[in-house]
Amino acid sequence: MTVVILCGSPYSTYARDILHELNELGVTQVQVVAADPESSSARRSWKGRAAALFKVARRPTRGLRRLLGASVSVDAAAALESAVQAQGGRLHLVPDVNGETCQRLLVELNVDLMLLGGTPIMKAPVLRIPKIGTLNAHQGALPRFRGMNVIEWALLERCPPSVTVHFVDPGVDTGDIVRVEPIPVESGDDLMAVKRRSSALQSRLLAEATVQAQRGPLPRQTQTATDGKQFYVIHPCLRALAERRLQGYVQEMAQV
Amino acid sequence: MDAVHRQPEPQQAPTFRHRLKAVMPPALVAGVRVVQAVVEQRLYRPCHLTMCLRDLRNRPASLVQPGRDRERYVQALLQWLARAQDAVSGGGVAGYYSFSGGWSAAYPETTGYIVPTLLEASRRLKVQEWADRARKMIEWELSVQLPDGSWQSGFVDQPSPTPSVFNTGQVIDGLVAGYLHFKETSWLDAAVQGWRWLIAQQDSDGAWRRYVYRDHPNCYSARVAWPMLILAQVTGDADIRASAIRYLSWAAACQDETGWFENCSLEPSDSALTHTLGYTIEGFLESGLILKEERWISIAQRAADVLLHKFEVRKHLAGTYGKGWKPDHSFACLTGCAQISRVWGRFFELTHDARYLNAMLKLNDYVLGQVSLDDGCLDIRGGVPGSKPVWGAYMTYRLPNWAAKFTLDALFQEADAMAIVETGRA
Repeated sequence: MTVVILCGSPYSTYARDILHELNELGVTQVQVVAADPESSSARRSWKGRAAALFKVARRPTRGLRRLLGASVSVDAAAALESAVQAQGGRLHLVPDVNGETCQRLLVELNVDLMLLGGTPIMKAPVLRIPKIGTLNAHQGALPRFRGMNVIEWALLERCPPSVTVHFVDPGVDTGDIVRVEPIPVESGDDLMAVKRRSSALQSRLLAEATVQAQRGPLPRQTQTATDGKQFYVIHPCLRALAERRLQGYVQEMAQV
Repeated sequence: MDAVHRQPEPQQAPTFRHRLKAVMPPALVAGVRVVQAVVEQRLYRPCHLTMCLRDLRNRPASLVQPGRDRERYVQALLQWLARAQDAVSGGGVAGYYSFSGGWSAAYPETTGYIVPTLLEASRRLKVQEWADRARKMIEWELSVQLPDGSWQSGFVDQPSPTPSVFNTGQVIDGLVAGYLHFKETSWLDAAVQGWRWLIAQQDSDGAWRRYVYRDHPNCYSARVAWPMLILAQVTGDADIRASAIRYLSWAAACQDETGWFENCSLEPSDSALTHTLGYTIEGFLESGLILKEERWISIAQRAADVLLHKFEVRKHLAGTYGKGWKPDHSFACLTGCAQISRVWGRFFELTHDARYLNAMLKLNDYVLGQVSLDDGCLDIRGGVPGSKPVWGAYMTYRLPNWAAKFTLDALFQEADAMAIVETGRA
C-alpha cells in the first residue's frame, strides 16, 4: 500500500512525527509531498521579491527574526528529508499542494492512502486521487468542534479536549469520522502542554489508522454539516478563560 | 439618516476644470487630487495629517490590549461626545467633526439616540454629568420638534426643515429613555405626538414611502419599529404596537434567501452599508425580543450569522455588502462595525454561544484601534472616524457622533457579555 504524507512545508515537524510513528508501527517506504516555499510563484516574481524586501525594510527586527528563523527551518527540512530517505521513501517538493503538479505526482505515485501533515484546506481534485482516501487528525471532537483553536473552545464549553481521525472531504472537518480519543491531561498542565500532547496523540492515531487500513476497511461514521459548529480563531480573553477552565478540568480528572 | 450621509453631486455642464482634467496625464490628475485634499481637508493640520498617514500605513491609532483597558476608551468616547455637545449651543450634539469644516451643526436624529447611551453611561459609571447632559439633549429635542409632531431631516441649521420618518423614530427612542429615567411626562407626550405623525405617514402595507430619504422605502426603519415598541410598552397603546408590527412584516419581505436585505441602502441602487445593515438587524432583534416573537429574531440572526462568518474568514467587515453579500473591502464603516458587534453581543446573551462573544471582542478591538487616546487635538481624541481609512466612502474625513455612540453601546454590551462568561453562566 502506498502511503503519502502531504504537508504545507518541508519544515513541518508534525509530518516528521507522523513519519516516526508510522515507522514505529512498521510502516515504511512512506512518501512525503511538501509545498516548496522557494518555488511559490509569488516569491519568484520580481513583485513578490520587492514586496518581501519592502517588508524587511519596514520592520527590520521582524525581518531579521525571520531570517534567523529561516536557518532553523532549513535544518528542519534537512531532518525531514533524511528521515524520509532512511525508511526508503522520498521527499517530493511541489509548488502548491492543491496545484496540478502535485496532482500529477500523486497519480504517478499511485497513492492508496494520504495523510495530512499540516496543509491548507485541500481541494476536491487532490482529495479524489488516493484510492482509500485522505485522513486527517483534528484537535477536537467531531462533529461538535470544527475549525480553529478547538482545544480552547472545548475547554470553554466544559468538554474534554479530544482528537478525531477523520476522512477529508472538501468541507471544513466534515468528512467521515474514523476515531475520537480524549487528550490525556495531567496535573500541572497548561494549554501549551495539552497542545503538545494533542500533537503527539494526533501523529500516533494517524499511524494506527494507517495500520488498520492496511488490514481492512476503516470504520466510518458519517456527519452532516448541521451536526456541529465551526469555530474560529479564539480571542485572547477567551483563551485566558479556557486556560482557567483547564485547571478546573485537570482537578476534576485528578479526582476521578 | 438622510442628507448627512451622502451629499449628491449636482449635475453640471462640463467646466474648464473638467475639460482640463480630461487632457491631463493620470499621474498629474492624482497629484492635483492630493494637493486638493491637503487644502480642502486641511491636511496641513498635524492631527489631520497624522490620521491620514496612520491609515496610509494601516497602523492603529492606539495599541489596544485585547479585551482590556476598556474603561479608558469609554471615558475618551464620552468626553468626545461631551465636546461635540459643547461645540454647538442649545444642548443638541454636533453631527460630526469634519477635517474641512470643523464641528457641524446639531443633528436631531443622532442626538435622539445618544440619549439612551448617556443614560446608560450614567447608570454604569455612577456619574451624574452624563444624565444631566442627556436631559439637556432631550430639552433641545423638544425645542426643535416641528409643529406636526415630527423631527426634521438633516441638521438643525437647515433653512426649511423637512420632516423625516427615520429621524422622528430615533428621537422617540431618546424621549422614551429619558422619560423612563427622569419620569417627565411631557417628554412622553412629545414622543406620542411624534408617533401620531409617524402613523399618519405609514401606508396600509406597513411601509413608509413619504418623508424617507429619496422617497425610497427602506428596511432599515426597523430601527424605527423598535422605539415604537418601547413606546407601546410604556403607554400600553395597542395601536403603536400594531403599527410597528405592520412595518416589520413589510420589511421582513426585504430579506432574501441568503439573509441579505434589499432596500437597505441609502440610495436605491447602492449596496447596503454595514451601518444600515446594523440598523436593520438590531431593529428586528430588539423588536423580536420585545414582542417575544422568534420570527423577527431569526431574521436578525440569519444576517448576523452571515456577517460573523465573513468577519472571521476575512478578519474584518467590508464597508458595504451588495446582493449575494458582494463585499466592498475598499473601506470599513466603523459605525456599522460597532453596531454589528453589539448585535453579536446580544446574540451571545440570548444563545450563550461563545462564538458571538469571540467575534464581538475582536471587532471591538478593531474599532477601538481607530480611536486615538492621546491626540493633542481634542476634536480628534476619543472620536471614531466614519471610515477606515479616513478617506473611505462613508463619512469621508469626518468623525460622526453616532460612531462614538454605537462604539459605546458595543462596549457596554461587551461588559455585560463578559460578566456572563466570567461568572460561569455560559
